Amino acid sequence: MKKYTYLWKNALILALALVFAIPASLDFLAMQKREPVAENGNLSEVRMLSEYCEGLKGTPADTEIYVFDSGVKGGTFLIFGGTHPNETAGMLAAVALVENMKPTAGRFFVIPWLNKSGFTHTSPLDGMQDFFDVKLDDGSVRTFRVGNRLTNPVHQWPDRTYYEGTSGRKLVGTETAEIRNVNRMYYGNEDGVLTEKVCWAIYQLILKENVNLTMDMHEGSPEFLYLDCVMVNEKADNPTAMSIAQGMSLDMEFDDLTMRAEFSGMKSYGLSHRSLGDNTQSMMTLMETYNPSMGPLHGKMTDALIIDGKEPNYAEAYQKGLNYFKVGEDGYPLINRVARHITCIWYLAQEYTVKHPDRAMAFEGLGSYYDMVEKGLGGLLKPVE
Amino acid sequence: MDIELICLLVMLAVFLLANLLLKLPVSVSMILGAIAGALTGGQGIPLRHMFEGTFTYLDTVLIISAAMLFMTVIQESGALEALNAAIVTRFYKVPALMLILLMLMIMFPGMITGSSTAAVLSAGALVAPVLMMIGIPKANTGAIVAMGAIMGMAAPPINIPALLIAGGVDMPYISFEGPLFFITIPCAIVAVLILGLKHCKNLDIEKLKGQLNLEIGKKYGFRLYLPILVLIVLLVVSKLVPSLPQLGTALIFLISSAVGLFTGKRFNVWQKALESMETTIPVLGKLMGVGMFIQVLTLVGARGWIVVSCLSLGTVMLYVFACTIMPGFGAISSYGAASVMGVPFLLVLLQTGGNNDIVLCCMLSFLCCLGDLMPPTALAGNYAAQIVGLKYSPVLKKCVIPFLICLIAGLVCMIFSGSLSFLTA
Repeated sequence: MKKYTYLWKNALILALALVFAIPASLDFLAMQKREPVAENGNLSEVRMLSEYCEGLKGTPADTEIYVFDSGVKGGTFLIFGGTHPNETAGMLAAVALVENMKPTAGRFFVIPWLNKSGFTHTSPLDGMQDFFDVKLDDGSVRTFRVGNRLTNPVHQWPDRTYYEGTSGRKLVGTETAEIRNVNRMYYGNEDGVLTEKVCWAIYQLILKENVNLTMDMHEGSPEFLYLDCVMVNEKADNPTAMSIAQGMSLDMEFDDLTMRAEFSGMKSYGLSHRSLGDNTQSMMTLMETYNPSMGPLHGKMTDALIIDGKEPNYAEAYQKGLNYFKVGEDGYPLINRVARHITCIWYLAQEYTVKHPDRAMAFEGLGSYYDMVEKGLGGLLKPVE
Repeated sequence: MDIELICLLVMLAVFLLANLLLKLPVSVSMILGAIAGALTGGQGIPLRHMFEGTFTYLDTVLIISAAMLFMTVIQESGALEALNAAIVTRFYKVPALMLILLMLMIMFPGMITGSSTAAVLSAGALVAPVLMMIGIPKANTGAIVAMGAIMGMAAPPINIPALLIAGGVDMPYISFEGPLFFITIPCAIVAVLILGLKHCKNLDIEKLKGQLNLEIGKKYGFRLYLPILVLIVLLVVSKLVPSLPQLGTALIFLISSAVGLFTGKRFNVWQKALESMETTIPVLGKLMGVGMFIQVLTLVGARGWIVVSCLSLGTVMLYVFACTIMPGFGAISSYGAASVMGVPFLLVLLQTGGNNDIVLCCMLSFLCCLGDLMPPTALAGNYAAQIVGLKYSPVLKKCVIPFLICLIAGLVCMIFSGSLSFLTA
């Protein structure tokens, strides 16, 4: 009798756990589905990243590459967002490019969800939003995911207690989780862990498609030193790389937008701008904007925090001299960050073309920074079925 | 009153009410506190966040479970009894040295794993019977084990709170050994001597021999210690030669346990494994509850509110708060203290000028580690008390003086961090 009571008690606890676990699981599973993209008549083709690394085929990390070929001979520009899925502006800027871009010279490869696995989960303890909604001008609503900066441990686990990637970066201590960080594992490994395969595919894409210029779009919390800043590898395209980046900075300054250009750190092993720049022909750049929903000071997590970008805690901290980055009461809305990314890309293409007219690259369809801000996300993004 | 403050107060109130008045387990009380906080913050019952929070410490949960199995094997095979006899018969003439060596033994697993719980459960459980046998009262023994485990957790090479703080400000985890040894070793020595020396000055070895099992060591010989040896070798090799294939701490404990099944007395493995898991589940539950609690704290904005409020203080109050809130937050989680409070505290203290960033980071992490003595969770104190067969309050009372000494030492090192820069060379 006692044995049966024990069994019933345990069965009841298990059933109760399932009652809570099943709806929670459905919440997590909902993140597995990728957002739709609006059609763009200028799109040449959609490829999968696995075309550049066979091992990615059929895995949750395989992701779409949107190819725009102007038909006019020129250079090739690779643009990706979603390296870190919680850095929303990069992903959304790439989506906006895919939906609006009309290339006029050269080719463009655009990847909105580079770490696709990272978009399927959020970060424990950070209380992150999993989705946020954007209301479009036609009244429809589009929903986008906010993921985690690392590959989902369901897809790549456990983290090894020691790992040395192809860059020579040694992952030990708490950095062991960085084995799931795309921007620590370049230039990747064809036979390595899933994250390394993503890096390897990008490396191969750059080599095989003879990519001339690459932009990796990121965001950071206000504690971070390099915000509104572009990192440039000094090796590839030497000596013109920094002058191209500085030209972009100057162009943006004329638009009343700050965008510093800095050399990439010599010891930034495994990061895209260092490792890909050192090992390929492409001029490597990485851009950062300020994201108010990142960092330890942020307040309640809401759609408004992500879209309006108002974070009074950081504004207060800035007034007290605690942040490096200037944060005002008005916040830093997502549309401004998206527009800043796209404007930076546009000017980089322009400056690159000035230096290398034989590898010209240009596009239109999005307008200036101020046009985009005026349109808002609701006007910049297109309705989808 | 800010809504974030209201959420925080509601969470703490519900947690304390459930734990102290309704006598519910800490883990369940934390879940109730988290739900109350989420409801107050307008988040409903956020199942996704609650589940996500509980999985934060999954790796630690696996390590603790495996470590408990290892301890059961060591106890049941007779290795523990044999080790006790060996230590006492060799070092009884120099009790101070014996105590310091035993303290270093307690610290060792904490240094390797970065977890005070692992230290208490492994070396702590081995050393505690020896300490009691040489005449140290149970409460003092529990306090020595708890303090040793915390010093081990804070000592290099692996100090997880330091790693968390350093990671938060993009500081490489390099040159931390000097400051961490500088604070932990003296504090450990002072703690063990205060708690134990007066009880074991005149040891009567003949009387002790009557209490020791000297036969089991003779019967099985050296092979009795093989699981401990395998554990030490695998832990050390995995850290010193990291390029070798990595087994992971949990698997190392399991391999060592498997070895122990064939080196000493035979016992019912299934039954003992079940018993060990039953004693472990409350602590595992606490870890999961802590994860859920912090997740909701962040979700409703209370975490950001706490940090901004603390950072608005003047320099003097900042040091006072670092010494109180950082260990105090350990009542919820010492890792949580590092990730929530450590990073902003470090950034602000650096701006006061003349400080050394690595020394400051080490001392802040040291204060976080002390949080493992904070009730009601008091991970280190809780398990140490279980090992000596007491409730944790008498053990924690004995920890007060060494705890305060450590706190003052940490504060002094923080204030004079600039002068301690040589430790980072």
